[in-house]
Amino acid sequence: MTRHVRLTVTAVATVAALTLTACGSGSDDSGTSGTSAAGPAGSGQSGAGSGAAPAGSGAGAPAGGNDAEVSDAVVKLVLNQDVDTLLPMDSNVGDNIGVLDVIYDGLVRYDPKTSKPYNYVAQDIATKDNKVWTIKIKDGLTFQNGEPVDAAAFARSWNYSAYGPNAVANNYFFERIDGYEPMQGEYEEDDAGKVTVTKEPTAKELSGLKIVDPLTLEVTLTAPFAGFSTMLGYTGFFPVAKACIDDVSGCAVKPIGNGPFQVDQWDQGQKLTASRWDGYTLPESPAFTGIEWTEYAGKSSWPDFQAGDIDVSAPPPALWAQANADPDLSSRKVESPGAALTYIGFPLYKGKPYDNIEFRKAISMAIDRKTIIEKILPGQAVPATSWVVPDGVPGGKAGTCEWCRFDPAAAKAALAKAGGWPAGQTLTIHLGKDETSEQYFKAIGDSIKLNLGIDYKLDPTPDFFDRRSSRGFTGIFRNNWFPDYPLNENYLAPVYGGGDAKKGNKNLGFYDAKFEQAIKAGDAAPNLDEAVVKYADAEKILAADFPTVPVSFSQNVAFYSERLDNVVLDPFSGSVELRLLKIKQ
Amino acid sequence: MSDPSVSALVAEETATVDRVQGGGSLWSNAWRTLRRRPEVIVAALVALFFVVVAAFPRLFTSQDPQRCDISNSGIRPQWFSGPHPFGTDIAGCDLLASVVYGARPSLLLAFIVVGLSVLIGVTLGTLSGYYLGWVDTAISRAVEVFLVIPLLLAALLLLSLFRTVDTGSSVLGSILQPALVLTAFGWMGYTRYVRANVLETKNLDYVVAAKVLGASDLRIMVRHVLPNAIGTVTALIPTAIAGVISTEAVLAFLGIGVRPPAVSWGILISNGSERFTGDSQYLLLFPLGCLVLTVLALVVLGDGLRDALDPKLR
Repeated sequence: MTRHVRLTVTAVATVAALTLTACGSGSDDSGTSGTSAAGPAGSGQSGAGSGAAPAGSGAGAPAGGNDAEVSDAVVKLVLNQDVDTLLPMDSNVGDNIGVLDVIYDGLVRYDPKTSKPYNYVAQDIATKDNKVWTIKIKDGLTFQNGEPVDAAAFARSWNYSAYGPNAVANNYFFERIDGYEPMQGEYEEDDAGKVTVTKEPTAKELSGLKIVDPLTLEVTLTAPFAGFSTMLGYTGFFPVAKACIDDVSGCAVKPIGNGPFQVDQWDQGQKLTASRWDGYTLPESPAFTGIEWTEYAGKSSWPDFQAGDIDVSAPPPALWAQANADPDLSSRKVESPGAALTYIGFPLYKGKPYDNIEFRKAISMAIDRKTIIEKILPGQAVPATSWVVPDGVPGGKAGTCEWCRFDPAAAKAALAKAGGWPAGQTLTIHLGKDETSEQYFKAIGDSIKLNLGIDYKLDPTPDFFDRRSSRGFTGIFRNNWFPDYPLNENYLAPVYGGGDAKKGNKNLGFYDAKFEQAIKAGDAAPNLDEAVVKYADAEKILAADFPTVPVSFSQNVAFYSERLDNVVLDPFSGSVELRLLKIKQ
Repeated sequence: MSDPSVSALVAEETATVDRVQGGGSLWSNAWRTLRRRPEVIVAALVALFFVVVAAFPRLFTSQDPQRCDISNSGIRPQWFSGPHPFGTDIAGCDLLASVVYGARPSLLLAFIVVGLSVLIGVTLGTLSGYYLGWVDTAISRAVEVFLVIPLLLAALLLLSLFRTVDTGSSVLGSILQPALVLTAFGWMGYTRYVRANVLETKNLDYVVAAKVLGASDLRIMVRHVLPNAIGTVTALIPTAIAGVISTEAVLAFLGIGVRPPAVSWGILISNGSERFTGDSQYLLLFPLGCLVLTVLALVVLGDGLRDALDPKLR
């Protein structure tokens, strides 16, 4: 009871603080109370939509349902990763994708239960041949600064992403659109993100994008791809305002969205606050007025959750059993199957012994996935026996990985067949800096040592992604693939495809012509169902080549505070579906 | 430190002084005093026990601490009824083996740090006290500079800066960085102590006599001044070792101490504390018990030694 009271008090206090911040930089420290600040609140903002209209009447959303019971509360969430941008074109990690989910709206959104896409900002997406797609956009939508959300807004964003020297993380999503190649050029990016262009691209815009009329965008792909409309809900396909392209670095910190929430302030590394945008007209709008994300950068937010400062959290592995045994806490637990695959990669580009399939089989069969997960990550993962999450996305099937079972004897035999491990050498396991995965991979290393007699050492590194893409690894490494859109192709082509025939692809050094063919066959399929079958064939080829070792699929778990209701987890990111979340009055 | 030849020398040189005070040399007097205090004897035995554990871990366990079987995860202490007397941790590593093998990095680090610090401190302290002048100025200022930098701050900064430098996975490699940093900030006390003692000793008649007879500076320092100045420093050593062992635990808790995969008591304590609120208290209590016991024994020993060796307290 006491905790509940305290929660409400902090929530109210934060609302007051938020309204104070919202009234602009001029009038801080004046000591005004929450109520007197509410008057001028909107005036600091620019643009049309954000006037001082009271929350309830805002925009008169028709089919909302949510709007009827908007709570005054501020939901307090957590960012675990070190987020460095909120630019949709450059956001590709779970946490900024989770934030942008309420700041922006995409052409399609995904059903949290079935993960099927449905049109949202799009009125209609049509194609005859899977090559030329016509996207009609709903009329009357605007950005938070008043600019219209139209075909140009999408073309603007996609052209920006596709332009190589912009060096954004979501660049590769646009390789299927006509005119992608001439936009790449050659460039180098240093550690600070500064780009030096060595060869100017010959084009500045995607030739495959055509603005037919203000609300119609025609997209021509290089080759038919039945899954194109499924991709469109991904963060990288969100529209951006013109003002955003004019000031990209400002927009990366304070996005101009078209979603139900707008970012108020982001103290990078500390805290991100967002509040309801009153000009929002589409139906799916959260039922509360503010969100506050606190950044933890890999530390556990659990103590703060228990102190009542955070609304959603999960305990660290050491406290897992205790939290689950607590009847009060476990009554506020939500679980759902996740879709992220944790797998072990090999530096295939380093040659022996990593390029020997028998060695990779030996590593795979030496890992006691079931027991390790039971002991280290109980309830947070399930052993993986495939590369595509079974049941979660179309085409996913369990058991495609023949050597994902635990069999120490077969593992030893495979290692012997591979020529053994060089005596006296230590196997390095590279991974990102994160307490939980360090414990997880220590157990995996122990399993390898126990069953194969290979000494190992962990190398937790803060610049994991840079080292991986520059092929700086000398041993096996931990990877986590978290799908961008619900299609089995997304687990395959972006990770294993597109490589150079000799050198292999960038991160893994993998290339198989048969695999590329199977992916192409899937892309060319006349409809999604047939495409999925073809992609599944590609997974079979992958299973035979065995370039990586699937370890586990995530299991989304979250504990939530007493004031939250209707907590649903997104099957992809595992974060709370903010648009469905309700606050108990 | 109590090298027999040095003791013999000391005895020889100081015989007259000591005989006036009550017979026997400084060291044999000290020995006699210590012998009469049972708590010192017990403390010495405990400390000796852990030194033996660190030196010969195989005497105490047949298990390899790095061999962890996840299927044996979280076994509670079995004492004498099973293969895991202290139980196993969450990864299935035998806790007794971890504690036994963890003694070596912890103690070795402490001995290296204190040994090097004493060596540096005695050398610089003697030089500065004996020559005075600019040598003294330079050394004393250096001491002051190092004294104003808080140890933990410096250790945090340096150890996290050089975290990525690979020093190998041998026992020495894994303790090299903390050893260097702790030594760099641990020598000042000895320097001051020795300097003060040298200042006092060098004006004694027998030193003046040696000088008049034409003995070289080096000979006077090593054979006449130092043996008399070193007694009080010796009394500091056990307490200092205890201090380094605790500091290692602190560094391990901050994640910057002895490097994995080597286990030290600090790392075991840090790991164990994570699960303390669950039902695995033994994971913390065993390594913590060893640490507390060792530190306590060394502190008692240091206390006794000081009482026995420091003539001013007598």
